[in-house]
Amino acid sequence: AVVSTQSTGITVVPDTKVPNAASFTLNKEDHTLGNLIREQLLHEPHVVFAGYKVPHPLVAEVVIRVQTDGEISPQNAFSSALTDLISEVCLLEERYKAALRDKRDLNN
Amino acid sequence: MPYANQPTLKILELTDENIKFIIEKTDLAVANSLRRVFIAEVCTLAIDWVQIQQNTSVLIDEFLSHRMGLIPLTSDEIVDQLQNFRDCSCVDYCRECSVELTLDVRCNEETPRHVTTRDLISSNLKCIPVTSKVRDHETHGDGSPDDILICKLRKGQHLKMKMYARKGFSKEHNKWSPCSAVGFEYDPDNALRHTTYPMASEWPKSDYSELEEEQSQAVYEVYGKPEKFWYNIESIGSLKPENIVLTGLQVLKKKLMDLQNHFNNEIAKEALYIG
Repeated sequence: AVVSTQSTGITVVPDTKVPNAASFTLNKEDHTLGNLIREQLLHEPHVVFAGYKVPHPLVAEVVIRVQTDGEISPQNAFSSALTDLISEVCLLEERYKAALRDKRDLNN
Repeated sequence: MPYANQPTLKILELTDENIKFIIEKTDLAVANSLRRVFIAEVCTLAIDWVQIQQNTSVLIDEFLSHRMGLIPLTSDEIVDQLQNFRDCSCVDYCRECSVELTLDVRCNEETPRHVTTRDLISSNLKCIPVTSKVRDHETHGDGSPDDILICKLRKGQHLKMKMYARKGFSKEHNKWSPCSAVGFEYDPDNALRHTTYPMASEWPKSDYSELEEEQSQAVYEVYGKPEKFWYNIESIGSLKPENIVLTGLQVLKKKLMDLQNHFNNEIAKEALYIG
């Protein structure tokens, strides 16, 4: 289901029915990124709604819907969530490398 | 930045096969995504192309090919140096994107000959069957794996094949998974009541439980959230467990960064349409 001919990409579709809402469709992705981004979006300020779905298990696609209160656009919220996640994973990587060094020194 | 979690990590145990660690002060989604990445998106090497030149054994060609694919190959040093097969500029397989292995066994004795992974000859000494590596360096303990049996040959039977191993990840086929199991636990005393036990006293306590003898579940925390996650990653042998975690974190970081790039491009394109 992953090795498809579709290219990786992201499509942004603004929601017409409510203000300040958009859906982001991620190709070649699954719950690994979907749930991760959704949870981080809920931490961002000015985010009123954040949810994700995998429309069909046989198609590698995730749709993330974001609605904000107007102070920032949904695109900005999404972008800031991504930045926060990247900084979190970087921090985790650094702390892991430090913990590994300490463990190795302890073993030796 | 201010709304990002600041997770802490502590390694409990590190052996050749296992790594046990705790991640704290982060969300369940982050912990779960990491677990998924360790299982499915860390690259290793595995045989993916088999040409059977001689097979007079009792097992059919595709059966043998399937078995060859499942043989774990040491990937620690080499997986980063190889190119992705689909991105490589070569037509078929080449040294840049794959490792060639051969197998040529003929049974000439009266007793049956066991064809094992010890008979596999690799063109790159950094990529050999995991079972061959163990015996070369260490003395035989009880825990070390025996050579994997591929096939048994009777007198006169001959098995000869040429194979290419390439790198891949478990989403494409599980033979590329570096982990045999990933233990994952949070809230060992069920304070958040994510599980509802009809009779909690029936169930054994977790290794990480902090309960007294008589207690079977912790007091219910209504507004609690999962914050502390215990991992136990068991490696097959193709990658060292500490490398699985390191690569997993790097893979997740790369996915997020690539997504951010795509996203910024998309936003820039939209700006061009409007303006």
